Amino acid sequence: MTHSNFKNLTRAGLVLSCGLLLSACSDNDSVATPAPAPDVEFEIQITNLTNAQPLSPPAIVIHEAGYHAFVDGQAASLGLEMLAEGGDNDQLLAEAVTESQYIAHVDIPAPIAPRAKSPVYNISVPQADLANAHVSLVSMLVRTNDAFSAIDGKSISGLQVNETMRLSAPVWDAGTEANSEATDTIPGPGLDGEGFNATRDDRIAVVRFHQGIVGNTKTEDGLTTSVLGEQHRFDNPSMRISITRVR
Amino acid sequence: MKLKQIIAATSLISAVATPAAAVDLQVSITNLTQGMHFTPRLLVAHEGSVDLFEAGQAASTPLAWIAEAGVIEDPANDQDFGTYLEDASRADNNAWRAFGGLLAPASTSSVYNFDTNNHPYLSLVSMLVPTNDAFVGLDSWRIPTTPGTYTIELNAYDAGTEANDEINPTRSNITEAGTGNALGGYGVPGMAAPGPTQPLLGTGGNGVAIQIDANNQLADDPSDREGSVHIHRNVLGDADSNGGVSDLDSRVHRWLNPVARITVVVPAQ
Repeated sequence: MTHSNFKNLTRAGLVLSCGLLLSACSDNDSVATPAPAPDVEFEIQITNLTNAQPLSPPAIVIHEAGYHAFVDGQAASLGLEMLAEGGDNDQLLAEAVTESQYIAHVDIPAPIAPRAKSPVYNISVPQADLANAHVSLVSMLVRTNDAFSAIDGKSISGLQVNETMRLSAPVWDAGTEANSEATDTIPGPGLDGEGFNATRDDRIAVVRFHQGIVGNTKTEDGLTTSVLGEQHRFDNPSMRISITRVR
Repeated sequence: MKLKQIIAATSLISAVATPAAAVDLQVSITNLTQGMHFTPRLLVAHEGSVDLFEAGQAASTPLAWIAEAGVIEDPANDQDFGTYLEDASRADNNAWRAFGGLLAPASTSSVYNFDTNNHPYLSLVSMLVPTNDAFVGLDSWRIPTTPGTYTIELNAYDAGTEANDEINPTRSNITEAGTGNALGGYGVPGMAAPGPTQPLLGTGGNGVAIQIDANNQLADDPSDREGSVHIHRNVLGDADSNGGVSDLDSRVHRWLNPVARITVVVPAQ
């Protein structure tokens, strides 16, 4: 399922608008009205490379250069904070749709299980928007305080039909929640700790590479107050993303 | 860790272009870890129909033979990659060789001369020892046709076929529950630990992902295995060489990706 806002339809240009006004165009037999160019279509599939970290329903946004769902070294937006702390992508997508660079996004309801591939997601991009089309993708590692896996604005305009691009995504820390790993701070089924909390209490208040979780396994560096075990640890990359242009 | 971006052209255009001549690649591999040896490397040049492993999917039996025991080809074994790749159904779709012996930490291999027999993709698998089922892998890298030197960084994967107990297999008083089998190798718990890796191993660990029971036995139940190939979450280790949870040393055996760098020279034709 894809969303294109009205602005994109008008950006497709005079050809489309002419096609919508059939009565005006058909009177002029000497000017051929070209059919509107079909949308470009992509298939996106995500592999969750972690051992035991579910990935929350990803926010996938197609956009022009200049939009950033996150910036390494800067404070997270409210939408990123809500996604990274609680796995809810609504606010981040709502923020993206209002940006001037927005082109389209995918509505995904389901998380991606650890060690598994997601379903194939389909997204369409109007032909006129292809030249400056980039993809950003953000998903929470659910058994963490505010870790997320993401890619920032990768260009997809150069993909030919039937060509596939493969990307790897590292794990980021949103900088909005302390990495206590405490029972009441880790969300998701079975633990059901708190997700989003508007108070920001991270030691470092900006987005940066995640340092990994410690876990409570009883070894010299086990964190006895952690609800996470050694199985929740992760290394980079955490996601592999495959993007294929199919039309 | 840098983001890696691999553009793999699957367009049919390459099939109708002038086919590449027989290509002799020169491949060398650097072990970037501080405490893991690499078992002999399996190099395969292949068509798209051959896939040694796929993250997010269950490991094949031949992959498990490498990931758990470092076995590529064994005359007595019809489940390894040597048998699999030579099978009539796919022998024309690949060219393969096993290269080298154990590659020590922080070391670079000699240069391997590898004839790809015109196949377009390159894959590599080697076990990290001592571990339960960790391997370093390259999955279907599109071999460039432009001559030059190419550098690729590789990550450590977990095959998902054996629980990460981190138990030293030379502890002969510990056996597999139900069978009494000795530890280590394919299909049994315990790490694989060839001779050169043993001096730095501890003993007495109780077990990380699964624990030794009151009868000195380890039960590697299928439900304790992760089930599919994924990026390895790292070994744990501890600093107690006579007890603790692990027989690995947390100060020696851990790594962060990438664990290997390979250099591939595509020669001028």
